[in-house]
Amino acid sequence: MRITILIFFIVCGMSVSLYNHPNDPPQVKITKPVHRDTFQWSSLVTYDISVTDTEDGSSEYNEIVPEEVFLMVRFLPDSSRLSSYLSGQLDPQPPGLQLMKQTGCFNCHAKKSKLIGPSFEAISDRYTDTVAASKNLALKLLKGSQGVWGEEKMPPNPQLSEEQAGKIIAWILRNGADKQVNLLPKLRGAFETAAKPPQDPGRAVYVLTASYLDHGSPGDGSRKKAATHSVVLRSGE
Amino acid sequence: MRGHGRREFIKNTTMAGLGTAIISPELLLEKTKTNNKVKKVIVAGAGIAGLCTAYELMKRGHEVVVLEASGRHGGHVFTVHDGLSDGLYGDFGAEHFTKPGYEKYWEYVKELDLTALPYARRKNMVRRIDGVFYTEEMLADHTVLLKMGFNDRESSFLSQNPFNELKALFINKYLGAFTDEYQPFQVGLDDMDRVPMIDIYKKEGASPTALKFLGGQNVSALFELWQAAILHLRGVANFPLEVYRLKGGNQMMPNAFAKKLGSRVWLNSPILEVRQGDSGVSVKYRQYKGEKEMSADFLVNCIPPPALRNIPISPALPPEKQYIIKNLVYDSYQRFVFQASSKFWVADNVSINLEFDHPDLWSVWHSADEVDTHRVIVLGTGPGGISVGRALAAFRELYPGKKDTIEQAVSRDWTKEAFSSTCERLAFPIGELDKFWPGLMQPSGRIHFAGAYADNLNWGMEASTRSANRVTKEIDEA
Repeated sequence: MRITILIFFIVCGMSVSLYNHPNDPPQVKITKPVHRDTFQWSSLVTYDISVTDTEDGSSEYNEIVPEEVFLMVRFLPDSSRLSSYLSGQLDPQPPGLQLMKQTGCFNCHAKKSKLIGPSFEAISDRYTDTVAASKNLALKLLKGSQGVWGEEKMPPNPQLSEEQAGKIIAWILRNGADKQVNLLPKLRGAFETAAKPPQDPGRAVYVLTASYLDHGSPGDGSRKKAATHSVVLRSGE
Repeated sequence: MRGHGRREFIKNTTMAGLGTAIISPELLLEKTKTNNKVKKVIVAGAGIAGLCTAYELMKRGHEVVVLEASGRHGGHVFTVHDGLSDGLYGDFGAEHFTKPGYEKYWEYVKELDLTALPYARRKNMVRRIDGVFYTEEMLADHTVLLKMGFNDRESSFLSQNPFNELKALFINKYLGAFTDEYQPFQVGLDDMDRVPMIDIYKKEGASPTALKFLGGQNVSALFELWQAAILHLRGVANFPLEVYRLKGGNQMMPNAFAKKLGSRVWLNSPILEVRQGDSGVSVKYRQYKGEKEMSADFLVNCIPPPALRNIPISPALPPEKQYIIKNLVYDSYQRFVFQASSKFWVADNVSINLEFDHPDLWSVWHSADEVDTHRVIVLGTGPGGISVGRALAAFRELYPGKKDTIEQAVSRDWTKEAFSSTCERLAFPIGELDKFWPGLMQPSGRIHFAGAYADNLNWGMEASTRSANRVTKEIDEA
């Protein structure tokens, strides 16, 4: 009887221990290109990202949802700004962007080019960041829309609150216009480098930052953890 | 016939006749092919266009390999049986074809011994407009149409013609200018590329109600008229009511091509890089976790442009071609499959061909009705990003009968697909027809282009088979 009780407590203890295991942070790595690689102007750069997380699994075994992995590409015309940029680098998971990633906005919209819907740059170019415009766009996000950019229908997003829709619109209007930044979902992909500026001093760099926000662990779900990895590409000319 | 007696001639003729009966079409063609040099061709993408191109090249005796990034062939032509009961199936992608309008496609239906079934999905349609359901009879009723806001002319036209043919009332007078369906220019309408189509509808007297249904704010009049003229020249309605599907699902055709091609189709072999020179092309691809290279005389790109944008090509394609690849836009959607235990709509005496005008679920129709079971499949289309539960809730909220017997709902959200998310190519931007046409069809060096995107009309399975034959001819004669 005593042994049975002992085993019971050991098993329960193990379960509780596993259940309450603190969430391990993910590990993110840009495997291609590698740090300090060179880039060519007006050309395509392909990238590969690997993600490993104790709770979520590994990208090697297709256990990571590709749409939850993002690459931020930042162009700096002069590498002298690199250290200040890296030290104060943009938060890869600001609330508005994080909501966009979770809502699946990137399935139909891209930062720079038209997919099914308009690019975030085009939206940002068309609408000024005013209270009225934000409210109008947040309403389209919540209720759906059609006919502004084409005949394609934008679906409604009833799972979002008005506050959340507002955060998404704020991110688009404040960051969409930044032509020096690209944001690409998924573990693999490509981006195109800029045309060579006429007065290029040869110090331009691209900073690639991969990010992943994990799902937390059982019993510790609210404490999701993010990880990033950056590489810098230098001008090859 | 010198040296041959009559008896021997008859014998040889009989043998030749026998041979004709038992030799497969590809062997027959191989025997009768021209003296063109055998070429080695890499086909990028195993959608219906890639498979059809490879099949045609193989028939002409060329060496061909198809490299497909995903683990299945067929691309956007995708029939699913898994998880559905009693042998039922659903076409998650390409839905139907028409007759006339799909001439090349029908040739393969015959050649590959496939069975086409009439598809009643556009019969007895019921449309929900501004919250009210309208039957076809109602939408042909003068009183109803006038009450909806159509003018007398529109109302008279719609009482004699199907509702979705409304635009014919305003555009048919322009279509006679087009005589070659591949030539939209120099027919006297070039200036209309800078005019939004809605302006033509307004000029022709369309009422505000008609404009609501016609759209046209974001499409050039020349493009829209050209597309309508293609249908006109093929003898097809703008919205054909007689449509067909393949028995067993539309993927039966890609499957049949792939079977003919056998080991020439390499799955899970994504192309990473393309290089081309004066005498050939070289492709780097991933296979079994390793990177490999292959050379050939030609590459046929059957990868949809949004996916092709991620593949470096060196030297870079000409700027005009790059512009096309970068700027072609597509629509996408989610296909819902509802499995029910009965034809519940029959008991309710309503049509199941329903257009909902609901943001979560656009339309539904009955499919796979030849499967021997009391169960049924109702297919639906809606936007990406919507859960199956919400789409089903929309159906249950709006279904005009008493109750349904849906026992399972599944879906495929194409917007989330990595390689074949694209459905139909959309209109080119206003004023840019000459930037896209005919450039999107034309080869660039040793790279040729086929696919649903690479023909004049965006009706995918016909555009794929047409462009596959065009490219085959280009390479065969090169």
